Amino acid sequence: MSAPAIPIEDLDLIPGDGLIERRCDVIVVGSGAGGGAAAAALAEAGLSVIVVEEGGHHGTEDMSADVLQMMAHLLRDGGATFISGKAPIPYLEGCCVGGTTMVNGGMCWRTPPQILSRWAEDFGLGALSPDEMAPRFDEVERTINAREQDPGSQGGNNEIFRAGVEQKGWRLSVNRRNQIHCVGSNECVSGCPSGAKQSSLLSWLPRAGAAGAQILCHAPVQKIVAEGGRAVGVAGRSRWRRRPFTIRARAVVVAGGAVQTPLLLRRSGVGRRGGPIGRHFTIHPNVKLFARFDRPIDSAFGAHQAYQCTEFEREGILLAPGAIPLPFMSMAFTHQLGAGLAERMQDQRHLFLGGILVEDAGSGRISTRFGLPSVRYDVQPQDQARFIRGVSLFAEMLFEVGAEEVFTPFFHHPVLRSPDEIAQLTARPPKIKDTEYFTAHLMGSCRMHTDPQQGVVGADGQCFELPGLYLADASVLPSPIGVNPQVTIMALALHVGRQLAAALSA
Amino acid sequence: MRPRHQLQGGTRRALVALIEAIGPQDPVAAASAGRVADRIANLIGHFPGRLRRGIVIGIWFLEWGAPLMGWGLRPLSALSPEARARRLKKILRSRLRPARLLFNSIKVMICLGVYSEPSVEALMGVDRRSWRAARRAFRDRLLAAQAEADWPPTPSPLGAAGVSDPEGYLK
Repeated sequence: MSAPAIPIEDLDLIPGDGLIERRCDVIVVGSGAGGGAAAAALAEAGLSVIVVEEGGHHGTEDMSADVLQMMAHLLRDGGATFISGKAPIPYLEGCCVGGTTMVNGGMCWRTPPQILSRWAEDFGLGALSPDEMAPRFDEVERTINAREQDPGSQGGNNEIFRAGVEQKGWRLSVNRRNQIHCVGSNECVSGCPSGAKQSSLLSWLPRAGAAGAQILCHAPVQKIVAEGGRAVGVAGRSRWRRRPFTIRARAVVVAGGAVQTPLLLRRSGVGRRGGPIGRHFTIHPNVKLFARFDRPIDSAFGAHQAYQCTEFEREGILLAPGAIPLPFMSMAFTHQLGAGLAERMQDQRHLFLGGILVEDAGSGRISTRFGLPSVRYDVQPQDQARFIRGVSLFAEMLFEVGAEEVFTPFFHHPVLRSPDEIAQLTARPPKIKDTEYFTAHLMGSCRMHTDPQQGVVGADGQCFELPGLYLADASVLPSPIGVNPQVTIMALALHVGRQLAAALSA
Repeated sequence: MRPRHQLQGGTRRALVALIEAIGPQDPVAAASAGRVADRIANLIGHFPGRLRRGIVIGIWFLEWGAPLMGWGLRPLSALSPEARARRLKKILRSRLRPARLLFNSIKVMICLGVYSEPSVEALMGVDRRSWRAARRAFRDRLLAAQAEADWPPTPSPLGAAGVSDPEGYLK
């Protein structure tokens, strides 16, 4: 275990067996993109803040090359998290100090202004207009060091993508990533081993800690405590020893992410049945695409994603490279195993990895059934049509820059061996149930809205149904944003944190 | 703090049989099958209880379910690795979606375990651990050589032929 630069206390290691009780001005539940930024805003306003995190603390020196171990340490349920629906969709959710920022790709995009304008006009959220949000985005980008990769660190996977997009004359966007001198270890998704990625653990939490915030890990919150119709604290049991704890505060900020936040609200009896909690859940579904080239790409080495192709942004389609470590490449060959798979894997130097993201047309729902969490989302036919178009475009581009085979996410069309075969995808369109999806962008299950019938929290992030309870995470996003959401989440959390600090000071 | 989760007896034997069939079928890889099984067991220990039980039932189903499904008569672990691979390939390509999904979820875990073993990585011509150590050392040298004040302003300017700048992108 690394020596923390911030005051992190492990609830399981506190001596004794009795109830642990604490008091503070504000409790922040969750330490990821939203929780970290909200905690920094509140602590810097002079409030006493306790951040409670369900997972453990794993510093840079704890990041090992054993991906199974890292999944166990960093991901919720060891990575066994699925959305049910027409096709099961695995999703990525961090469960450790730093939250999902510890396992994301580190892409930094501001919320597109047209989305912010729509939120202002359609949802009455004038406080989130492009002009209001600009200084918050500046602050976020400064804190997490959102910048381009150092030259030479991108790696072959990104460069072949750039060459392909430029050859097609499509629009290429350079990703900013939250990193300081990333050297392209390509381990973003299993824990940055160099400390380059400026996750919440290395950016917001030290800032919050410097202003006096405390962090409790292995502290899963079971319910929000309410008295007199107002949130006054949280209660739970430590993760492994199941030791009870309660923390009382003047206000509670929940930043557990778009899946956990509505579940916590439901467990706590917040909101009415049939209300907006858990609804309007969107996921930016992704599919993966692999290609084998005639020459070495060495995609195992380099940055996860240095560029994006935004040419088809208006159609809601984003094409991107997505380098992953060697063990994850084995997932490319869905129809292979044993010696056949090994033969393919020995060719790994020639393998390109990418993905297609679409902006959701539909939405899903998070609820509890028989006391168990239920996360449901159905990919819509129009989204499937976008995926087919996205895969076709991507494959066409890859063949033009020398791909010999393209491996698709479609069960009945696993490999395309020439550009002529791309037409098969439209002639016999793959069905939703025969497509492999994936997502890491979970949003909007407790959306912000000025109308209590339509949303869970108001423009200040306070819950309509339970005063004193604030939400500051991806769950409050009013609609999908079409870009990687961490900067949006952090900027919204800063906004909510500052609103709450002002309210408590008044 | 967390007790280490382990698979016992027949379940572990069935998992090792699956690992030997799905892995590279090479003596070097086979030697690490037991260790991979323990690492997978540890990961399964982090799954929610019902999923953990489901995975164990799935492993048993792949071991003993062949006669029911018409995949053969003998349990999986009684077959040679090549014969196991042939049987599992049938499941992988099965039109029966639940069987395919079940096997795929177990296959993904096994592949991640097998292909992150240093000996198997070496078979694939990769030494990820040395690469990581070298990159870390390189970054340390970069940080030591360059004071923070010299870092490029954030956000740094973008823009080159064919490359959009953030403002252009946002428009």
